[in-house]
Amino acid sequence: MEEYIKVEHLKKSFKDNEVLADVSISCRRGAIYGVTGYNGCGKSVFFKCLCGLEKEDGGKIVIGGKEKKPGELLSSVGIIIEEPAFLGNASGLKNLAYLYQIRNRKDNQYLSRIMEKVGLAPCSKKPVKKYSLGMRQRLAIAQAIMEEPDILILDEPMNGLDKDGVREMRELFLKIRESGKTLLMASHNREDIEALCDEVYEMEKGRLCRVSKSI
Amino acid sequence: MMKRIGNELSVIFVDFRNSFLTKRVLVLFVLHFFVTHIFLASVRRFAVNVHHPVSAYGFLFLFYDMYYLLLFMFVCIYYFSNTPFLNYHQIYRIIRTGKLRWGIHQIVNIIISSVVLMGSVFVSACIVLFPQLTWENDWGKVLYTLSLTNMAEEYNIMVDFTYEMISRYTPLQLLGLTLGIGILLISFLGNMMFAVSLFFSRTAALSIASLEAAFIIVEANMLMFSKLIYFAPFTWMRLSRIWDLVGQSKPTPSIGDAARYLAVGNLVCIVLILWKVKDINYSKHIKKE
Repeated sequence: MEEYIKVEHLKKSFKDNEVLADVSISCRRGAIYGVTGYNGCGKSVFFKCLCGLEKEDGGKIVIGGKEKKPGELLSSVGIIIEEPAFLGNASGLKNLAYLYQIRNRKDNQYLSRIMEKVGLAPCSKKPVKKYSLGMRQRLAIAQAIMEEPDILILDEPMNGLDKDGVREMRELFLKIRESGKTLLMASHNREDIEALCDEVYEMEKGRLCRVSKSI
Repeated sequence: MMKRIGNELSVIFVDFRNSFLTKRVLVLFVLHFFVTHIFLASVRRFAVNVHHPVSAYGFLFLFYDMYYLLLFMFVCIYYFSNTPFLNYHQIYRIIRTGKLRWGIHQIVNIIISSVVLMGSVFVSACIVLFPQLTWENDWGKVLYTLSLTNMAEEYNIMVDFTYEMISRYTPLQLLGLTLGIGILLISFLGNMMFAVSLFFSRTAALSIASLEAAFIIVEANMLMFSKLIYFAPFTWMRLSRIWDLVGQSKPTPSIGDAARYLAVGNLVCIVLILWKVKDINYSKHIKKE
């Protein structure tokens, strides 16, 4: 299988606190990679370095055979990092339309379908500030997948979702995997990891250790 | 190409609207309105007593009072105090625009904001003076009287309706000069705060901006250091002190020099922002909403 993401010896410190000591991982297309670990172990920092929101101190990130410069944002990535935040006074559809427009695209019908896919009512005029955490999480998933990016970076994507929501999102992520995308997911939930991930890594002392491989 | 520019402006406008229509800004404008009210309510009282309307362009003279100018500058500083404008909802945006394009959007946003902030003075002045208002391109009897007589003292009017300015310039000319310098100055303030927050921190940006604002008072009180005015750009809003506008030989920059210095200042800040914004770091700059 084609190796799409290759991370070698990634390092990141905040002052004297070394968060990522030596992180290496290879990811292929059409697979889901799970990252687990205790709170504050560096999962989110690793994801931020990978997508370019955080500038790494050392190491190498190669995407599709091309080395990424430190701090350079990935061009085709969908992210959910930390808490989902949107324009509070606008509806869910308007928020998606705004983000979609940034890449010169306009298609409200398509966005309505994406909203339905994640279990949100596209015609609802309810402002996002009145959404529950679960609804905001669904909207965050919608914005991450709507441009069909090659890579999805999902930090605790099931946060705040109810049982049905979790099941629906699992099905959605598996479908996305089948379409040949690469998904990296951090989760504390063992069930999510077991149900979704092809390879599971644990972040410990700033290093990623593979703990299982189910395929 | 035009479609692309239209799309960019539309994205920037949504961002501006979102940063503008907040409780924080609403409270700020209400406070600003009350400050304007304190300065102009006595002018309206005078206009009512003499049965003549006040020129809507009278608000231009508000900036000549150092205390009003100081308060207005603090309004502007507070408005830009969320620099470098990176909050959680911006993360989904920056990942799509890229860091450089995001930085350019913020710069355009600062320029739009400076126009709106200048406009806010005009709007709040109109509300205070309403209905004693006239829109003609003439200063009118009220402002002429206040500039030539001691009626201002009698009515406790704090605004200095400088006669030299009234006699030399039409309202539209002075409006052009004030808006030009004001927009350049507020843009410079916003861009400087953005640049400083990128290189150092938000606290450093706020400290430097507040120090510059404090120079309005310092400069006015330290007559022996007359050259200080060159290092206090906020005082350049007091056009009645700019030597070539009032025909005096004070050691101040000319209006042309002031505009040039501010334009260069803006340009330098923009170059620094575009250079540094590529390295903007999530953990360092993120601001919780």
